[in-house]
Amino acid sequence: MKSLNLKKLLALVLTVAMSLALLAGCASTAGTTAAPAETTAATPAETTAPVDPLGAQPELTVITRGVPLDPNQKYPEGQSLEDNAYTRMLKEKFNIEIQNEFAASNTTTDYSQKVDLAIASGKIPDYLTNLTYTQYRAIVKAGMAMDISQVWDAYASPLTKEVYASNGALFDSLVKKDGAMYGIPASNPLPDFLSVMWIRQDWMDKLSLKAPTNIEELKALAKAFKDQDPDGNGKADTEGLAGPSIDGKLYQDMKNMNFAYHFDQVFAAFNSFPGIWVKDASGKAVYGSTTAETKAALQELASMYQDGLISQGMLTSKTEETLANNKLGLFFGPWWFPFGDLGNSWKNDTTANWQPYLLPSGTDGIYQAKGGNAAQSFVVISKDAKNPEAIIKMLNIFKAGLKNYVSEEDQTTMGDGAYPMYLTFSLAEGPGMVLKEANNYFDGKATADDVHANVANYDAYITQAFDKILVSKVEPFADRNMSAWDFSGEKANDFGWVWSFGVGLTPYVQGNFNWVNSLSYETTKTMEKRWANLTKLEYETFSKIIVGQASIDEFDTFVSQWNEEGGAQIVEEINAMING
Amino acid sequence: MATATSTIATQPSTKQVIRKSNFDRRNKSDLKHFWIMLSPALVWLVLFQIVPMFGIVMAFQDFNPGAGFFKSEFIGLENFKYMFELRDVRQVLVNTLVIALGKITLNLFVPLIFALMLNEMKQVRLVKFIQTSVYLPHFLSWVILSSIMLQIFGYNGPVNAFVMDLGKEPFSIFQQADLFRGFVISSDVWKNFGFNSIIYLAALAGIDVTLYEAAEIDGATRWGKLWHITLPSIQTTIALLAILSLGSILDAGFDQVYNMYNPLVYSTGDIIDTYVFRAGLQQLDFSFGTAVGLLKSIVSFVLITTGYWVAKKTVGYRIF
Repeated sequence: MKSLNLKKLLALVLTVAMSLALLAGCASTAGTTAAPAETTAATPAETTAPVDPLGAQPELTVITRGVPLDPNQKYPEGQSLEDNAYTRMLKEKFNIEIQNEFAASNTTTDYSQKVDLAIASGKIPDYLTNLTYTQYRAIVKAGMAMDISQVWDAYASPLTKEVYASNGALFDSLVKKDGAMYGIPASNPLPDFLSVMWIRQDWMDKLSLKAPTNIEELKALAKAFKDQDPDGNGKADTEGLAGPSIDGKLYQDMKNMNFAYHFDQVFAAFNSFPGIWVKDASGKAVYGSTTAETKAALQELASMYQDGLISQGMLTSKTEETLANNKLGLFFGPWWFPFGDLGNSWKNDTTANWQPYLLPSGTDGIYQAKGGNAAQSFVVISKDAKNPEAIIKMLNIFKAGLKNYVSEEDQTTMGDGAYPMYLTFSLAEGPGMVLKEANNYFDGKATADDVHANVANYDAYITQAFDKILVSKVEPFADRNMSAWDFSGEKANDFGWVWSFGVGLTPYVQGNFNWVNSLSYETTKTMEKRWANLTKLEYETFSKIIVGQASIDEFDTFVSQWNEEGGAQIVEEINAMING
Repeated sequence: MATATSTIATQPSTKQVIRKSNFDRRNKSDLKHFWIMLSPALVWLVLFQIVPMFGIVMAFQDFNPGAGFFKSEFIGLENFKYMFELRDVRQVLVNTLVIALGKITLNLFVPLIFALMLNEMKQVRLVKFIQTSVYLPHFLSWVILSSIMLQIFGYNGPVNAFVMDLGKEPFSIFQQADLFRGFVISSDVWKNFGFNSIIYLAALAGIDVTLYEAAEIDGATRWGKLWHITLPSIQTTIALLAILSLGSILDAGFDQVYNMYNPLVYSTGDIIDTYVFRAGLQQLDFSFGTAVGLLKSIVSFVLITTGYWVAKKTVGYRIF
């Protein structure tokens, strides 16, 4: 009798285990089979009554999501990720309750891996933010994304729609297909793609040099910074032009933009645009890395490296540390870099007067700037979401300014990052607006209150940038050098804001540049399989040519090998895509 | 003497027999508790070790997460074919094998030699100190260690500064493809030899001291004792470690290489794992990643089996 019970027990345990396992295995299939019926049922958006984009849900709506965590996120006393002023506000004022299905750090690849797992399991939460284009496409391809075209039309607020429209043509090509809309692109403001030439003005003044306007002058400046001891410590320990860090890249491409220590401006001076799709003389699309212009640019970079004008430790040491230690006075990078490594340089030497310039590509004084994909991350709403309109409303609320919904104290402590629908969602001009408006004030064309109101109306979040500029700016207003700013005491904490918005954006506002956009940001069929292989070949060849481990003739071998191994086919696919 | 030992040896075994028969008698009632205690582990084994095995199916599919295992299209050996079509596959395989073999061999013998040397030392305090200090790097992750390595051996580091002060050409391991593999291997051995020597030291401590005494009476030198007593006594341990490490023949160490390599050393530093990371994971190609993983498992399985068989034949070592 006893042994019979035992057998029963064992059988039970095993059955439970097996059925659990089977359930886990079947979950994905169950989701797909039930799908078609639900998709048609789950579009309650077609109401005849006019909808309020900022109105409360008629009844309590539960929304699930995946959380891209910022490990440095702070919460006011007694609040947390699950329960904070934002979630309370959504529940009390809008009847929206947020449930977090998973949370993972967004500063590492953890969040991305969680998302990949969710995709692989065939079930995603009601919505996901911070998706890469590849992830977005995988979700759409797997049929897990909802067609939100009708919900979007009905519920997106005018301001939300305006943001989308400011980059409309590009966004349409990314998220719309046959009238259906499968995602919301995060809208990156364009200034992010304009990399500037950051120069230590104080070093340059000391050596009585001017900002370079062509490659020859750039070389002269790099040489002077390297040889003439600009930091005045009596040691030859400064570097010329900075090269990429160990995990860095030689140039921006269609997938990776908005980083520092690349050589884009040197390439552009040769009319070369590696890493993106450009038109050749006959009007056909070619890959920028394979052109004769790129070969010429590489040859120049190799000779600069040979002469020691480019940091010799490029690709193998941490350039950010050289910058923070103030052994570097010249590099190409984004306007917001005072928030990053440039801020560390200033912290270690508060006389460091970093000024942004553009290196003109030709004799006309215009910089040919590589344009970037303004949609660098995506939001997807699951096709199983019961209330897609609530998710759109959350975006409307975000756009309307979170300050208007929670107490200022909570807002300052948490920032916008803790809001469940936080994403970069800015008009194309974005932060450029702040400096334009600020200049109006400094030129005496507008009062501070008018400017503040204008900026607040435009983007509530970045209004603080203008306020902080006002606090730190001292006379003379037209002067943007370090001597005309005040960073004493507490103000030092705002260096990133002030120097990025007040100084870093100057080249963008002055506008002496042209966008050179990639003809496509798509991943074609052959690219899916071959691109990793081809980029490896490209990086390896280019890096070796620049540091002198391969002669410039290797470039031609690279081009033919690149074409042979799938490149030629990808060029055809891209051309077909553009023309068809 | 011989009879005495045999009687001592037989006594425990008779005790064991008695215990065993007792156990048999109470079998029915006792067994239940064992099963109950075992069941959580069984459930775990089934759920997390056996069920996920079905995921191997992905290697033969064009896996579509939305469609799942049952509806994804089967493409046979397409993923494996593609793997071997890639221009880099030979280079990547060679890199992996060279680095892994180098690590396996050196990680076997360097700790052995180190353990033998420590064993000969008589100053206990010094031995303890050395032991503790060589264990340390084992507990640091490669993310940290590699940035230390970059600082020391990189272009701006003290090693290069010294070389350049001598008026020689700049020397940066991370820029020179021909030095990179050697550096990866030796830094890994440096990190792990202290920790790996623990097992040898344990084996050495287990050698019967009387053997050495007898050898001394017979007039054996230090080398003679090492050769005729120490090494034969720990040969099964060496064989065990060798067999176990064969399983990692295609494992050149992702963390380490990923944190130290750059395009200049792709030709000697790019290994299977870093390649799959770039080609498979960053492009969300699950099937390809699974196919490579499966191939690695098969190779490891074959090698461990062969190694075990060889060990059984040569040194009489067996686990089962």
